[in-house]
Formats: sequence, structure tokens, C-alpha cells
Amino acid sequence: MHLVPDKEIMHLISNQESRHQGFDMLVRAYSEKTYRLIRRIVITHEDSDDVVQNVFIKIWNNIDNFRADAQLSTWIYRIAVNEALIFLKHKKIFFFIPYYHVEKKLSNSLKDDNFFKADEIETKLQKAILSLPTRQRLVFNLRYYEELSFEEISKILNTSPGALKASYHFAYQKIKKNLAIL
Amino acid sequence: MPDDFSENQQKLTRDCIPFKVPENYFEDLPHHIQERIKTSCKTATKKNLCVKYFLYPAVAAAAVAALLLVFWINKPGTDTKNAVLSSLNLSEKSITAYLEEEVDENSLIDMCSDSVTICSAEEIPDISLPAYDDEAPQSPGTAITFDSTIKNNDIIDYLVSENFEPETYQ
Repeated sequence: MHLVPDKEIMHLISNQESRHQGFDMLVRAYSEKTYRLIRRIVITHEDSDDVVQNVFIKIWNNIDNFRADAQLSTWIYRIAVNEALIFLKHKKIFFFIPYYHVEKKLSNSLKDDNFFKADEIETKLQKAILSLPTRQRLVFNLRYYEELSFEEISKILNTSPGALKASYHFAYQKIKKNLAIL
Repeated sequence: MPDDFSENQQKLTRDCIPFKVPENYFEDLPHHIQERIKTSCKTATKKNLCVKYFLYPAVAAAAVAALLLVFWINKPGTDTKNAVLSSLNLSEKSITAYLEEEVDENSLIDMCSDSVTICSAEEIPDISLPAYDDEAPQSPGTAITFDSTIKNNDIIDYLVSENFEPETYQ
């Protein structure tokens, strides 16, 4: 649900009197999409809830740094992706998980998550996606589920569209291969 | 090999969301965030007071100590650099040779390019993939040839970006 135009939201935020009201509108406009993006990276609801709240607090603290010529959604997604990756990195350090085991741990947490409801095929697909390295998984999710163009993803991840195409291609091949094995 | 992904895609849609949330989660989220912002503002004010009364004097003391240390090290009659070098027992010749040693970046790039040519167009089987064209909608039946859209430079970019580290943003 995104009814209020970004310009109007930013105009409200730029005025001290309507700052909180404008920010409330921004959260309502972007919280669901941001949450979904984060959830696909960190998997469990509890972790996603922590990360999404941190994201919007960072947005609140840095809203004056937002350049008017940039797209608000891209800026928010960029912060969300960074926060989610930093969260995963901290999780690896905190739980002494080797780099290559983190996705396996996330995959195992799918079945323990009370808020993950999927049939057999969907579970299979999610596990296949989780068998990808973090960055490939991220590119795949942004392209396949969020349906963002490679140009948009390149602005979020600060990578060339060509490299993203290659990453998506390899991700797709691995998912196909893993679906056949699972 | 059967295309399981394409087959499954018929049954799955992108709108099928297996990740559920508690009831009214998105309605309550803005309220929780505003609460946390208010709390963090109060904590920030307390932190500022701590910085004013404890951190600034500590930093000033550390700066004075560092200045005194630098002054002591550089005072006439103390040749620190020579002392360190002689303690390492390295000859001047070997240090010069090490400093003059150059890494040939071009050969490194060539090596990378050689290694990625393993994935040449001939070796990639013709498989169905969603179209890479941003304008066209993705469909499982749309085929794409590997060499037409992805260049060697893209592969190198991709390999470099695999070492991605989350950045801090401003």
C-alpha cells in the first residue's frame, strides 16, 4: 500500500512541525516492502522485525542526507540490504558460524519458524534459494520476487548491471540444479 | 534433465508469500518505530552529557600523552628508525628489492579472463531462463544465449563483486 507520493512525504519531513507525521507516512508506505525484502535475507520473523526497526531508525537519523534527485525507494532498499547483511555478518561472528554454513543454518531455521507457512513445492524452492551464497541469493530475490530491473538493483548494490546479470544467471542455474537434487 | 524450476514456476507465483507475520504487525510497526525513536533520542541526550563530562577530558589527556611520546621518540640523539631496522636484522639491499618489487596487474586481469573463458557459449547448454531484458516480462520459456548478454568484463565484475562487503552509507 503506497498511496502518498514520495515528494509529499519528503515535503512533510522537511518541515520541523510535520516531521513526525511525514515520517509516519514514510514508514506506512514502505514498511511492508522493506520487511519482505529483509525477511528473505534473514529468514526468521524475530530477526526481520529487529532489522526493519533498525532500518527505519537509521532512515530517521539520516533523512537529511537523502538527495532529492535520488529515488526514495532505492535509498530505503539500499539501507535495508546493508542492515540485513550487517546483521547476518554479526550473526556469523556471534554464533561462530563458518561463512559457508550460515545459509544452511538459515535453511534449518525455516522449519522452526512459526511464521513460515508453505507447501512442499514452496519449501523446496526456498531451500534451493537458501543454498545460494548470500550475495547471489540477494540478487535473485531482488530480481525474481521484487521484480526490480538490473539498473535498479545496480543502484542498490552498487554493482554493474552486467555483473548482476551474470550473478542472476549463476543463481538461476544453481537453483535449477538444487531443485533436481532436493 | 527435466526443468524442475520451470515446472514448479507454473505452480508458484511471486505473490505466493510463505513468510507470514503476526496479526496487525504492519499496523503496529510505525508505532513501535516511533517509540524506539523517542527512546533513542533520550539515550542520545544522556550519551552527550557523558561525552561532555568524561570523554572529552579523557581524549585531551590521551592527546597530551601522545604528543609527549612523539617528542620523546624524536628527541635528538635517538635514531628510532635505524634501531628498528637493525633489530629486524634486514640488509638495506633486501629492503630496496622488496620496495621495488611490482605486481603486474595486467597479467592478473589476463589470468582472470582466461579462467572465465571456461564458460564459453559453446559449453553452455541451451536452457530456458527468464528474459534479462528489463522491459520484457520474465517467462520460463524465454531462452537466452549466454554470450549475447554477458560479457567477459561482466563476469570479472561479478567475480570481484562476490567479495562484496556491506558498506556504510551516509
